[in-house]
Amino acid sequence: MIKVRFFNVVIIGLLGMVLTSFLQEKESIKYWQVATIESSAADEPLIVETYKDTLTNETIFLHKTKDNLPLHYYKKVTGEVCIDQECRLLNIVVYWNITGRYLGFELPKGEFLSKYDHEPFSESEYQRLHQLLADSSMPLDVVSFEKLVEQPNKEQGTADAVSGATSKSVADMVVKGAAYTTYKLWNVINGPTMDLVSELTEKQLTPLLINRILQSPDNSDKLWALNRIVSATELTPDLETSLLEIVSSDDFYLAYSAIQAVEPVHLKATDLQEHLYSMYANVNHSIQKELLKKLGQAPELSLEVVNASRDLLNQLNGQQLDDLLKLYSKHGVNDLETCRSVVRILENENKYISKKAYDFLIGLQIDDATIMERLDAYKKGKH
Amino acid sequence: MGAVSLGMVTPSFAKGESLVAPYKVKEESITTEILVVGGGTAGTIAAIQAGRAGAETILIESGSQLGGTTTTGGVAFPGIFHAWGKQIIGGIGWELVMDCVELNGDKLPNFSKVPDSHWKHQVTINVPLYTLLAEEKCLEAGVDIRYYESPTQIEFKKGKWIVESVGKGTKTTIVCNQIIDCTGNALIASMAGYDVLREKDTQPGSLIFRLGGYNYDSLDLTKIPEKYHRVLRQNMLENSKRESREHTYVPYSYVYVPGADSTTSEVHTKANNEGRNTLLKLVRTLKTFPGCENLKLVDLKTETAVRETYRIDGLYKMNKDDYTSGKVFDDAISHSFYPIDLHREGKSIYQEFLKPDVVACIPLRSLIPKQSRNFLVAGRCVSSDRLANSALRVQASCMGMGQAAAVAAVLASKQGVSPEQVDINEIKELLKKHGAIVPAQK
Repeated sequence: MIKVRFFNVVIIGLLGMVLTSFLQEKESIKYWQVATIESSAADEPLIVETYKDTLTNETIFLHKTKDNLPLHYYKKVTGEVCIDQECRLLNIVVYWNITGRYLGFELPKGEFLSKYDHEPFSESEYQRLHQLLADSSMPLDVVSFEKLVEQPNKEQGTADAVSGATSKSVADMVVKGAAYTTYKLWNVINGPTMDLVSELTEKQLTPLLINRILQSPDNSDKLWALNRIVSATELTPDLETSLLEIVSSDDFYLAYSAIQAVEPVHLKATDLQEHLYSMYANVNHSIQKELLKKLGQAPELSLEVVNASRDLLNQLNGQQLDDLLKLYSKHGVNDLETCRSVVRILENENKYISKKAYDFLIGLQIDDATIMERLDAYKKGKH
Repeated sequence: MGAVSLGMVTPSFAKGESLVAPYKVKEESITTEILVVGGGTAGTIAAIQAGRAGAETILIESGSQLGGTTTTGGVAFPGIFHAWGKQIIGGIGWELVMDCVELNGDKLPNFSKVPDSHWKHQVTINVPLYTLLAEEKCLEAGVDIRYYESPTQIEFKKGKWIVESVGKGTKTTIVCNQIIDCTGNALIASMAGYDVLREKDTQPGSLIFRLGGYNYDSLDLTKIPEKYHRVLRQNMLENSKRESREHTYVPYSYVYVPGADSTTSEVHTKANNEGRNTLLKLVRTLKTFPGCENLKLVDLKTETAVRETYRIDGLYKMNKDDYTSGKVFDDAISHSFYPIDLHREGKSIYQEFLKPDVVACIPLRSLIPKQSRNFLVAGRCVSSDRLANSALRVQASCMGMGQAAAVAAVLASKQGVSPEQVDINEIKELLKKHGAIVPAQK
């Protein structure tokens, strides 16, 4: 009987990274973190596609569901790790999420990782390795292996034998006693193949897939998808709903990126403009400003937005008012009703605010005697 | 033709010279509601906020431009505005930074990701743009900027402050309702007779510069003494190589200036002299190393940026535990997020990082000197112990303090009271209305 153990979620404080369960069978070892798209019983991977990594001439595999939904990529990594002149084959499968984010690793049945002292990895060392491999911000791609270790024994070359002398400054970047294994695997996972698999997914992107990625529990996946919404991407109702949910979230950068993801061509849809505007009252000032700037990119501003925003005019602080009036100016909003609403602001006792209203109105050609009279009075200081 | 005498061909526009009246200092007396002294990181934001809240505002700045440490000092990557995925300092400071980022076509760091180094969430800005935008926002808010001036005397009389300010050819008496001391040195607080504190040894200042003319990757570092590696490496914007994944570079190098003090012209001149002298020696030394023969000094900031001088003795003195525990005070008016970060003798930095989800808060009382009337400070002279101050002193925190101090001052001015007498909820409400993020009780 196969023994399966599930471990609690481990939260790595500094990275905020969530490592999910790891699964260890008696004869195979597998560590897995949160997936971009979790496969369920209903869509267990049925299709395997292969791609050639032209840089390494290795094969990359892609697991897809029967509905053609890509789930993850993997690659078999083999090579020698030498320990005190004795070399043994490294035989491991590494996995990437479809966004290129590290997913996990798996050792074939009977395989295990060992350290320079021939000791097999302990459970905590596998966890540590898994955690390090997930940290793409480590500078292991710009540091040579020789620099990773103190007083390297050049005769022994790139061997884990030297990793016993792991220097203090790099101790945080490697599994103690397995510097070369860590270094090699980290560079496989965070090297060019990571970008390659990301590009492979990019070629398969559909609104449906983007939307699935936006549901990922991992923020970097969400950002990956947001950064790939382009003019040609159709904002389907589901995708639009997901975008708007992110805009209203309290994660500033995600909300900001979701607004940036909307292209001017998408704003031809007045519904989208109105939905974006409807977020205005419930987001913080920084995001409010971004929303108005985005609406400024619309080919034509929705009348509904103009009508709804008019009611806000008297409640805004000077800077918010300035942002809204700039939006009006950009879209040539100069209807009488709006102008009459703005003219009332001339009476605001806050000079910064009233001047914003004056500057807006004076730039328009207004054929209304009352408004002109009020502007004249403001100019003469009679307001 | 031969030479023609000058007189024969002098055009009419060159004949306009006349004797002018002898130099005379212009003396005048002016009134305002709010006087902000110091147009640096905190003062610029305070002045803009006061103006936008509808108060008559004067801003005195002893230099020629706004921004202080951010611009003149060249520490052009303000932060930290975000913590644990959320924005924790917003308002005018963030607006200024964002306008700068947008106008310069820059990218924001990924604030969603908790960085491995805190500075990766600082936002690199274009200094000249920041200078221009800060000034524009002040002027739009109706702020009367007075460059090249410094207060020399201050007196509180019949509910008003009377401040004598001297500049190039000017001697001005400014009568105001409220003062916000944003000098960074608690200079006006000291002038007013309030207690100020100073450590026996202060952190070093930094003179910021940029080098060019060499390729760090091609250097044979075994032939260069190790103590010079950092300056060569940091200057080459090592982290910018990773820009496709992270916007992370620290775009500067600096020399430490031990004991740098900006309180008076005399000591600030000394700090500048020492910093420039150290840098010149460094450049000369670096050029002797193989691969650095063509090394060039391509940028040097105007003055030595200062970390620590005087702090006020406020109604509440924030301590390190307040900071690192994220204590939310009833009168908390702004957040602060930075490690405890004490530069020691230019040799090491004592750092202590905040635990996950912890964000520090600043109480209004720490901006008000004991026994004071109609007086606030904002910036690094906030009332705090040394370790708390080493984190509070950074730019985003100073911007948050500047905005909060201005709101308190404007309300106090309108109500004819001292800032500590204003209902704290009114202050919080007005701050929120102006986009500031006010700490919430948990």
